[in-house]
Amino acid sequence: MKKMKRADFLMGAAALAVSVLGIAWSQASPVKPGAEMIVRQHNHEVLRVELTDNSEETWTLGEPGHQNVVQRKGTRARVVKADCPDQICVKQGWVDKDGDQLLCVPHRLLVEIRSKGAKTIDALAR
Amino acid sequence: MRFVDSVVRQGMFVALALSLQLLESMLPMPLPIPGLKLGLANLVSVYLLLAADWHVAMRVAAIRVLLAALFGGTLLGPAFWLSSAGAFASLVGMTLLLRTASANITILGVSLVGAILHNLAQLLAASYLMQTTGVFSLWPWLVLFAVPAGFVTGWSARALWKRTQWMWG
Repeated sequence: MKKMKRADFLMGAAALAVSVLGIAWSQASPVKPGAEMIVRQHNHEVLRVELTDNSEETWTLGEPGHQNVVQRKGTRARVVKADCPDQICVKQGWVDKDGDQLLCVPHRLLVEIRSKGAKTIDALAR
Repeated sequence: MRFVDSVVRQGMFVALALSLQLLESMLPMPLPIPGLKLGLANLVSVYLLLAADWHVAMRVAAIRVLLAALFGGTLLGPAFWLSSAGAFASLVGMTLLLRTASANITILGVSLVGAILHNLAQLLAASYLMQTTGVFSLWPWLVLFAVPAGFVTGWSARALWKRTQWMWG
Protein backbone atom coordinates (compact mmCIF):
# COMPACT_ATOMS: atom_id res chain seq x y z
CA MET A 1 0.00 0.00 0.00
CA LYS A 2 1.42 3.33 -1.01
CA LYS A 3 1.67 5.86 1.75
CA MET A 4 0.24 8.67 -0.30
CA LYS A 5 -0.92 8.88 -3.87
CA ARG A 6 -0.81 11.72 -6.33
CA ALA A 7 -4.54 12.44 -5.98
CA ASP A 8 -4.18 12.85 -2.20
CA PHE A 9 -1.46 15.39 -2.71
CA LEU A 10 -3.36 17.21 -5.46
CA MET A 11 -6.49 17.44 -3.35
CA GLY A 12 -4.54 18.81 -0.41
CA ALA A 13 -2.81 21.34 -2.65
CA ALA A 14 -6.09 22.35 -4.31
CA ALA A 15 -7.81 22.81 -0.95
CA LEU A 16 -4.92 24.92 0.34
CA ALA A 17 -4.91 27.00 -2.84
CA VAL A 18 -8.67 27.66 -2.60
CA SER A 19 -8.31 28.55 1.04
CA VAL A 20 -5.36 30.89 0.56
CA LEU A 21 -7.09 32.59 -2.39
CA GLY A 22 -10.24 33.01 -0.32
CA ILE A 23 -8.34 34.51 2.57
CA ALA A 24 -6.33 36.79 0.29
CA TRP A 25 -9.52 37.95 -1.41
CA SER A 26 -11.24 38.70 1.89
CA GLN A 27 -8.16 40.57 3.12
CA ALA A 28 -7.82 42.55 -0.09
CA SER A 29 -11.43 43.70 -0.34
CA PRO A 30 -11.95 47.19 1.07
CA VAL A 31 -12.91 47.29 4.70
CA LYS A 32 -15.82 49.52 5.58
CA PRO A 33 -16.19 50.62 9.16
CA GLY A 34 -19.35 49.49 10.90
CA ALA A 35 -22.13 51.98 11.43
CA GLU A 36 -24.68 49.90 13.25
CA MET A 37 -25.00 46.73 15.21
CA ILE A 38 -27.92 44.42 14.59
CA VAL A 39 -28.73 41.62 17.00
CA ARG A 40 -31.01 38.81 15.94
CA GLN A 41 -32.33 36.10 18.18
CA HIS A 42 -34.12 33.12 16.65
CA ASN A 43 -34.03 35.09 13.39
CA HIS A 44 -35.94 38.04 14.83
CA GLU A 45 -34.28 41.38 15.12
CA VAL A 46 -34.22 42.29 18.80
CA LEU A 47 -31.79 45.17 18.77
CA ARG A 48 -30.42 47.75 16.36
CA VAL A 49 -27.96 50.28 17.67
CA GLU A 50 -25.83 52.90 15.97
CA LEU A 51 -22.12 52.62 16.55
CA THR A 52 -21.29 56.27 17.02
CA ASP A 53 -20.00 57.91 20.16
CA ASN A 54 -17.64 56.64 22.80
CA SER A 55 -20.33 55.66 25.25
CA GLU A 56 -20.79 52.18 26.55
CA GLU A 57 -23.94 50.09 26.66
CA THR A 58 -24.72 46.58 27.79
CA TRP A 59 -27.75 44.42 27.09
CA THR A 60 -28.77 41.17 28.67
CA LEU A 61 -30.66 39.12 26.11
CA GLY A 62 -32.67 35.99 26.69
CA GLU A 63 -33.63 34.04 29.78
CA PRO A 64 -31.11 32.33 32.08
CA GLY A 65 -30.06 29.17 30.30
CA HIS A 66 -30.17 30.95 26.96
CA GLN A 67 -28.58 34.20 27.93
CA ASN A 68 -26.06 36.43 26.20
CA VAL A 69 -24.70 39.71 27.47
CA VAL A 70 -23.91 41.97 24.52
CA GLN A 71 -21.80 45.08 24.92
CA ARG A 72 -21.16 48.11 22.76
CA LYS A 73 -18.21 50.34 23.49
CA GLY A 74 -17.92 53.19 21.02
CA THR A 75 -17.82 51.62 17.58
CA ARG A 76 -17.02 48.10 18.72
CA ALA A 77 -19.25 45.31 19.92
CA ARG A 78 -18.71 42.01 21.67
CA VAL A 79 -20.46 39.30 23.63
CA VAL A 80 -19.31 39.67 27.21
CA LYS A 81 -20.97 36.62 28.67
CA ALA A 82 -22.96 33.64 27.48
CA ASP A 83 -24.24 30.71 29.46
CA CYS A 84 -23.67 28.22 26.65
CA PRO A 85 -21.10 25.45 26.90
CA ASP A 86 -18.80 26.36 24.01
CA GLN A 87 -18.33 30.11 24.63
CA ILE A 88 -17.38 30.63 20.99
CA CYS A 89 -19.16 33.98 20.74
CA VAL A 90 -17.32 35.28 23.80
CA LYS A 91 -13.95 34.12 22.52
CA GLN A 92 -14.54 35.86 19.19
CA GLY A 93 -13.91 39.11 21.03
CA TRP A 94 -14.55 42.56 19.57
CA VAL A 95 -15.94 43.22 16.10
CA ASP A 96 -16.25 46.58 14.37
CA LYS A 97 -16.15 46.15 10.58
CA ASP A 98 -18.93 45.89 8.00
CA GLY A 99 -19.99 42.26 7.70
CA ASP A 100 -18.40 41.11 10.96
CA GLN A 101 -20.49 38.61 12.84
CA LEU A 102 -20.59 37.16 16.30
CA LEU A 103 -22.27 33.80 16.35
CA CYS A 104 -23.87 31.92 19.22
CA VAL A 105 -25.36 28.86 17.61
CA PRO A 106 -26.76 27.18 20.78
CA HIS A 107 -28.86 30.28 21.50
CA ARG A 108 -29.37 31.17 17.85
CA LEU A 109 -28.05 34.64 18.49
CA LEU A 110 -26.36 36.66 15.79
CA VAL A 111 -24.61 39.98 16.26
CA GLU A 112 -23.93 41.62 12.94
CA ILE A 113 -22.04 44.79 12.12
CA ARG A 114 -23.24 46.77 9.14
CA SER A 115 -21.92 49.84 7.41
CA LYS A 116 -24.19 52.76 6.68
CA GLY A 117 -26.88 52.00 4.13
CA ALA A 118 -26.00 48.34 3.90
CA LYS A 119 -28.92 46.08 3.12
CA THR A 120 -29.87 43.70 5.86
CA ILE A 121 -31.32 40.27 5.38
CA ASP A 122 -34.73 41.60 6.44
CA ALA A 123 -34.56 44.41 3.91
CA LEU A 124 -33.66 41.91 1.21
CA ALA A 125 -36.49 39.60 2.15
CA ARG A 126 -39.10 42.32 1.86
CA MET B 1 -21.46 -15.09 19.10
CA ARG B 2 -21.04 -12.98 16.01
CA PHE B 3 -23.89 -10.71 17.10
CA VAL B 4 -22.52 -10.25 20.63
CA ASP B 5 -19.09 -9.68 19.18
CA SER B 6 -20.25 -6.90 16.89
CA VAL B 7 -22.34 -5.24 19.62
CA VAL B 8 -19.40 -5.23 22.01
CA ARG B 9 -17.09 -3.89 19.35
CA GLN B 10 -19.43 -1.10 18.29
CA GLY B 11 -20.10 -0.18 21.92
CA MET B 12 -16.38 0.10 22.49
CA PHE B 13 -15.94 2.42 19.52
CA VAL B 14 -18.90 4.56 20.58
CA ALA B 15 -17.27 4.94 24.01
CA LEU B 16 -13.93 5.80 22.39
CA ALA B 17 -15.47 8.36 20.03
CA LEU B 18 -17.45 9.95 22.87
CA SER B 19 -14.32 10.24 25.00
CA LEU B 20 -12.40 11.83 22.16
CA GLN B 21 -15.21 14.29 21.52
CA LEU B 22 -15.34 15.20 25.22
CA LEU B 23 -11.56 15.58 25.34
CA GLU B 24 -11.67 17.84 22.33
CA SER B 25 -14.36 20.04 23.88
CA MET B 26 -12.08 20.59 26.87
CA LEU B 27 -9.15 21.78 24.76
CA PRO B 28 -8.76 25.55 24.60
CA MET B 29 -9.63 27.13 21.26
CA PRO B 30 -6.43 28.24 19.53
CA LEU B 31 -8.17 30.81 17.33
CA PRO B 32 -11.56 32.48 17.73
CA ILE B 33 -13.02 30.91 14.59
CA PRO B 34 -16.44 29.28 15.07
CA GLY B 35 -16.41 25.72 13.77
CA LEU B 36 -12.66 25.27 14.01
CA LYS B 37 -11.68 21.97 15.57
CA LEU B 38 -9.32 19.06 15.36
CA GLY B 39 -12.00 16.48 14.67
CA LEU B 40 -10.65 13.87 17.05
CA ALA B 41 -13.90 11.90 17.07
CA ASN B 42 -13.65 11.64 13.30
CA LEU B 43 -10.58 9.46 13.83
CA VAL B 44 -12.94 6.70 14.91
CA SER B 45 -15.10 7.13 11.81
CA VAL B 46 -12.12 7.00 9.45
CA TYR B 47 -10.68 4.02 11.30
CA LEU B 48 -13.99 2.15 11.05
CA LEU B 49 -14.19 2.87 7.32
CA LEU B 50 -10.86 1.08 6.99
CA ALA B 51 -11.38 -1.71 9.50
CA ALA B 52 -15.10 -2.41 9.26
CA ASP B 53 -17.71 -1.08 6.89
CA TRP B 54 -19.45 2.18 6.17
CA HIS B 55 -22.62 1.19 7.99
CA VAL B 56 -20.68 0.39 11.14
CA ALA B 57 -18.95 3.78 10.94
CA MET B 58 -22.30 5.48 10.33
CA ARG B 59 -23.99 3.72 13.25
CA VAL B 60 -21.17 4.51 15.66
CA ALA B 61 -21.10 8.15 14.55
CA ALA B 62 -24.89 8.47 14.86
CA ILE B 63 -24.90 7.02 18.39
CA ARG B 64 -21.93 9.19 19.33
CA VAL B 65 -23.61 12.41 18.17
CA LEU B 66 -26.87 11.41 19.86
CA LEU B 67 -25.26 10.49 23.18
CA ALA B 68 -22.99 13.55 23.22
CA ALA B 69 -26.06 15.76 22.75
CA LEU B 70 -27.99 13.82 25.38
CA PHE B 71 -25.21 14.17 27.97
CA GLY B 72 -24.60 17.80 27.07
CA GLY B 73 -28.30 18.69 27.18
CA THR B 74 -28.32 19.92 23.59
CA LEU B 75 -30.48 17.20 22.07
CA LEU B 76 -32.48 18.52 19.10
CA GLY B 77 -30.96 21.95 19.70
CA PRO B 78 -29.08 23.95 17.03
CA ALA B 79 -25.66 22.59 18.06
CA PHE B 80 -27.01 19.05 17.71
CA TRP B 81 -28.15 19.66 14.13
CA LEU B 82 -24.80 21.17 13.28
CA SER B 83 -22.82 18.21 14.53
CA SER B 84 -25.26 15.75 12.91
CA ALA B 85 -24.96 17.53 9.57
CA GLY B 86 -21.17 17.54 9.79
CA ALA B 87 -20.83 13.90 10.81
CA PHE B 88 -23.36 12.65 8.25
CA ALA B 89 -22.02 14.65 5.29
CA SER B 90 -18.41 13.71 5.93
CA LEU B 91 -19.21 10.00 6.31
CA VAL B 92 -21.34 9.88 3.17
CA GLY B 93 -18.66 11.71 1.21
CA MET B 94 -15.84 9.52 2.50
CA THR B 95 -17.79 6.33 1.81
CA LEU B 96 -18.56 7.35 -1.77
CA LEU B 97 -14.97 8.37 -2.38
CA LEU B 98 -13.61 5.10 -1.00
CA ARG B 99 -16.01 3.12 -3.17
CA THR B 100 -15.39 4.97 -6.40
CA ALA B 101 -11.79 6.14 -6.30
CA SER B 102 -9.90 3.87 -3.93
CA ALA B 103 -7.55 2.90 -6.78
CA ASN B 104 -6.29 6.47 -7.08
CA ILE B 105 -6.59 7.76 -3.58
CA THR B 106 -5.51 6.71 -0.10
CA ILE B 107 -7.27 7.17 3.21
CA LEU B 108 -5.34 10.45 3.61
CA GLY B 109 -7.21 12.10 0.76
CA VAL B 110 -10.48 10.49 1.84
CA SER B 111 -10.07 11.88 5.32
CA LEU B 112 -9.23 15.32 3.92
CA VAL B 113 -12.44 15.34 1.87
CA GLY B 114 -14.31 14.21 4.98
CA ALA B 115 -12.90 17.12 6.98
CA ILE B 116 -13.81 19.67 4.31
CA LEU B 117 -17.32 18.24 3.88
CA HIS B 118 -17.77 18.35 7.64
CA ASN B 119 -17.02 22.09 7.64
CA LEU B 120 -19.15 22.75 4.60
CA ALA B 121 -22.18 20.91 5.98
CA GLN B 122 -21.86 22.73 9.30
CA LEU B 123 -21.71 26.10 7.56
CA LEU B 124 -24.76 25.21 5.44
CA ALA B 125 -26.65 24.12 8.55
CA ALA B 126 -25.55 27.24 10.44
CA SER B 127 -26.51 29.57 7.61
CA TYR B 128 -29.92 27.93 7.44
CA LEU B 129 -30.48 28.03 11.21
CA MET B 130 -29.29 31.61 11.58
CA GLN B 131 -30.67 32.82 8.23
CA THR B 132 -27.39 34.42 7.19
CA THR B 133 -24.85 33.78 4.47
CA GLY B 134 -22.18 35.68 6.37
CA VAL B 135 -20.91 32.50 8.01
CA PHE B 136 -19.43 31.35 4.70
CA SER B 137 -16.69 33.94 5.10
CA LEU B 138 -15.28 31.50 7.66
CA TRP B 139 -14.91 28.78 5.05
CA PRO B 140 -11.39 29.60 3.75
CA TRP B 141 -10.09 29.60 7.31
CA LEU B 142 -11.78 26.31 8.09
CA VAL B 143 -10.35 24.69 4.94
CA LEU B 144 -6.89 25.96 5.79
CA PHE B 145 -7.00 23.98 9.02
CA ALA B 146 -8.98 21.07 7.56
CA VAL B 147 -6.02 20.14 5.33
CA PRO B 148 -3.54 19.31 8.10
CA ALA B 149 -6.30 18.01 10.41
CA GLY B 150 -7.69 15.73 7.67
CA PHE B 151 -4.28 14.37 6.70
CA VAL B 152 -3.25 13.72 10.30
CA THR B 153 -6.57 11.97 11.02
CA GLY B 154 -6.20 9.78 7.93
CA TRP B 155 -2.59 8.96 8.72
CA SER B 156 -3.39 8.13 12.35
CA ALA B 157 -6.37 5.98 11.40
CA ARG B 158 -4.22 3.97 8.99
CA ALA B 159 -1.42 3.56 11.53
CA LEU B 160 -3.92 2.37 14.14
CA TRP B 161 -5.56 0.03 11.69
CA LYS B 162 -2.23 -1.59 10.73
CA ARG B 163 -1.50 -2.29 14.38
CA THR B 164 -4.96 -3.57 15.25
CA GLN B 165 -5.76 -5.75 12.26
CA TRP B 166 -5.58 -8.84 14.49
CA MET B 167 -8.73 -7.58 16.23
CA TRP B 168 -10.76 -7.92 13.08
CA GLY B 169 -9.84 -11.51 12.32
